[in-house]
Amino acid sequence: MADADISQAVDVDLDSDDVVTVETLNDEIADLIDDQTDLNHDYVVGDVSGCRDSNGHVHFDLVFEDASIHCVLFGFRRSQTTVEPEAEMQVAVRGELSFYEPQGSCSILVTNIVDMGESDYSQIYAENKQLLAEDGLLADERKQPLPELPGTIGLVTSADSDARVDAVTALHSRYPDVDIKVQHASVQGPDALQELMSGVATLDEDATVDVIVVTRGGGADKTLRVFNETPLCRVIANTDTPTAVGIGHEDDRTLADEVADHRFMTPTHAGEIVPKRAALEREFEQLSTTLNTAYQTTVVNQLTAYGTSLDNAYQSTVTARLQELGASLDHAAERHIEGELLNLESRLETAYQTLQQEKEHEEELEETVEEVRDEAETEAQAQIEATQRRYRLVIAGLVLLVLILAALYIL
Amino acid sequence: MTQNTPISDKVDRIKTIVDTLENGDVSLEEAEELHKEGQTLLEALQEDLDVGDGTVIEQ
Repeated sequence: MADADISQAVDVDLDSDDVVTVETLNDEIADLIDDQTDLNHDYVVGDVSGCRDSNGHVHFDLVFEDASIHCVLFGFRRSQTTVEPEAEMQVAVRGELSFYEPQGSCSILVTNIVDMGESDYSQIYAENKQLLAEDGLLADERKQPLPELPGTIGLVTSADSDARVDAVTALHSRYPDVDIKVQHASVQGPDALQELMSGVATLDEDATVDVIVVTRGGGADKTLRVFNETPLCRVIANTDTPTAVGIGHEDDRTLADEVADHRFMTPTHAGEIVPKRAALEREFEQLSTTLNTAYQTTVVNQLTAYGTSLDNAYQSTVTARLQELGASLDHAAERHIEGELLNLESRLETAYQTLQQEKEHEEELEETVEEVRDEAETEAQAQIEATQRRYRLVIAGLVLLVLILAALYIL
Repeated sequence: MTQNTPISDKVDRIKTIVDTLENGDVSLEEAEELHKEGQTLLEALQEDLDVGDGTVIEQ
């Protein structure tokens, strides 16, 4: 045993010479473990819990009742073991006990694993689930819908946990206005069951709370077992307020998840129970634009239709009136023409008669002229003849005279 | 519809109004009434968004 390796280096009087560093203590523990052959058993039996793969190595906790020890199955040994450890398995582990000095933790470096069937806890889990199922608490029909937009969220979690910070941050990042009432409850340990039940019941009685969220971060399977307890599950299932539960990591499932109205994977996913305010605002803005566009289009179309109807009605009225006026005009024109024709016919008849009369008169005149001419000619002829007779008589007298004179002359 | 009507119901009603308007089988008076109803619902939705003050209350 090393001792007093730091006593000279500290100024404070510790009232002892036996003072060592963590490194020294861990070295001593490691030596102790290495030298203690009684600790090397052929097999260690327990339930597999918190099984996870890391860089090809399998890490898990071997759990029995309230005791657990960390185990690691290195990658190069995975092909050599008969089975791979899985959650809810009870196994017998062969391996070497190892003390990891930097962290002061003890592990079993597994060389072989024997499957011993279902773990004790998996049987308890199955029994609890069966009880809840028999009471209908797992039925989808009894699940309540979450409010579309809760105003106040009741959050049941450990007040000083990362889960509380993650959940509040996730909720407010999506919807900054939502109020959150944080009901502190231990999420593991002896007080966890009672405090979780009390927390859920308290928020359920608060009329301002619209939805109850129960959450905690990841951890070893053993630390999550409180969320498989039937009293807590019954409280969650029987609330009047809708519930949402998110326990552990993505692949952790608990009965509290199953009886809740909604399950989310991790505290960071708690935000999914509220909508994104920015998305809602965008949707409402889009709706407003669509509504106004539809209304304006409807109004424009209606006014255009009315305008077209008005134009058509006007054109029909004008066309009908014009046709009416045209018909009246045609009728009037026909009457006018008929009158004119009658008038012209009358005038023509009159003119014709006048012309006939004139013609008759002219003929009468011509007859008269002819008669006068004939009379004149007759009279002129008579005068001519009378004149001719006188001339003949004159000429005959003159001839006789000439003859007398000639005879006288001759004689 | 009331202030307590779920948001999704209000949104669905507005979408129905938009569909009705876009179908074009409404008179000017009906279109105006539908538009007013849609605007009222949008105002109600805006009021719905203001759910709280974002306070965190430790109990």
